[in-house]
Parts: sequence; structure tokens; C-alpha cells
Amino acid sequence: MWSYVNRLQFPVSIKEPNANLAQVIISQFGGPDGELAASMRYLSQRYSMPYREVAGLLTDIGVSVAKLRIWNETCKISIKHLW
Amino acid sequence: MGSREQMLKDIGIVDFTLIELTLYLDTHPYDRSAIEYFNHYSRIKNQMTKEFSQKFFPLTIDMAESNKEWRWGMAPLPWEGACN
Repeated sequence: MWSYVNRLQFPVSIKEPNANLAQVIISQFGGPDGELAASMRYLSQRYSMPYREVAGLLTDIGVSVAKLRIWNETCKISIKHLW
Repeated sequence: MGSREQMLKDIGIVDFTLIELTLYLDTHPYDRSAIEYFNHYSRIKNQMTKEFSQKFFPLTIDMAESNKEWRWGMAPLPWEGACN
């Protein structure tokens, strides 16, 4: 199902560490309405989707969101330099 | 063919186009011109990914053919600053 790609969708460069911003990003990543939960919802809802083309779409959106997660995670880890 | 940073950026641009085209094609599977567009950029991206992987480090596991050292495991990781 998954294969790792060793690059980012968009370059992340942290010029100034910012703990408050990091907090927001972390909650967007793993929080109750975060990317992590969203991608899992897309990927499990596709199994019961009655319209075939939408099931395909749910797969691709779920995967895209998962890629975003990687971006978020990187952001988070970069900000870690602050701590 | 440019620096590591430039090549990664270019791959990112083409990849973004492909992601959006994929989503469009999922719901418009018979749009011939979109399919042509997809084929065109898909070919370019494969070429770029291959070139990058040979020159710098493998981006995907199927590009990780190695000789003396295991290139996949030795490759720098994005959160170590490799992708900026």
C-alpha cells in the first residue's frame, strides 16, 4: 500500500523557530481535526463508497493528505531545534 | 542538470501538476486532453526522478540500485535538511 518517497512535496526551511506556531502545526497534524485523522477517514470511507469513481478519488485524496502529514512532521521536527 | 536543490524543486513542481491531474481524472476518466497532459508530465517526472536518483540519492526504493554501499539507507533524510 505505501511506499516512501525520500523528498518533500515542498521545501521547508525554518528561518526563525517559533514555539507557538509549532503548537498550532502539531495540533493540525495529530489533533482531533488534524491531517492524520482526516487521511484515515478518507482511506476507510472509500471501502463503502457506492460510486466507483469517488472511491478512487478517496484513495488519492487520502494519500495526498498523508503526504501533507510528512510535510507537517518535518515542519514540526525542524521547529524542535528551539527546545 | 542543475543543483540538488533546483532539481528537487523542479520535481516538486511537476509532481504537484500530476497530483492535481490525478484528482481531476478520477472523476473525469474520459477527458482525452487531460489524459494526454498527464502522460506528458508523468514521463517527464519519471525521467527527472531517475536522473536525480542516479546523480544524488535514490528518491524511491526502486531507484536504490547499489554497488559498494546501500544507497537507500545512506541517503540523507528530509528532516535532516536534505530537501531544502
